[in-house]
Amino acid sequence: MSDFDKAVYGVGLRDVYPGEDTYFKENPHVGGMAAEDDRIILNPYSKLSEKEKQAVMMNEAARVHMRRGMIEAPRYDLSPEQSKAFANYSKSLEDQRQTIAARLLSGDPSALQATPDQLEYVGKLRQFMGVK
Amino acid sequence: MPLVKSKSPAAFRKNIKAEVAAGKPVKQAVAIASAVKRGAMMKKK
Repeated sequence: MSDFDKAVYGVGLRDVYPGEDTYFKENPHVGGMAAEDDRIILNPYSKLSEKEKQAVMMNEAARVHMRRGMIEAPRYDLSPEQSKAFANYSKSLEDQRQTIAARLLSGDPSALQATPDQLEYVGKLRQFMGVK
Repeated sequence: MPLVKSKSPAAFRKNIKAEVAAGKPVKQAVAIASAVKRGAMMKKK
């Protein structure tokens, strides 16, 4: 696959660059990431199924859309359980909100129990991205 | 602290650590460090 010849949910998908490859090789449990150029990259060393890869791409595409301001940033509160679970994820509450939204969208249970505000936001995100 | 603009693996790891220490999520830190490394590689060409 050459660079920039594929896109998912309106976000480009590209091959990994050397630094990314090093990280992925050392972390095969990581499915993929949203790169700094706002493209999605998948870990070539992960053993994910096609369905799981789709979920990773959906998650990362959501992050790119939120990061680029294509959809308004989430402003909801985190539940006490989420605050505790995501305290080490990032010092930024904005990052925590965005990862929870992306995980809820892609059906990742590590987002924990969603609040009504979070479900409302994810509904908007789902609609924006055309996720069925 | 400014990131190390080098293509070396040591600089790559140092940049990831610096970004994580600054509060960035690990994957975001990796993405940033990768972009810096790629920038350094492009410059050398």
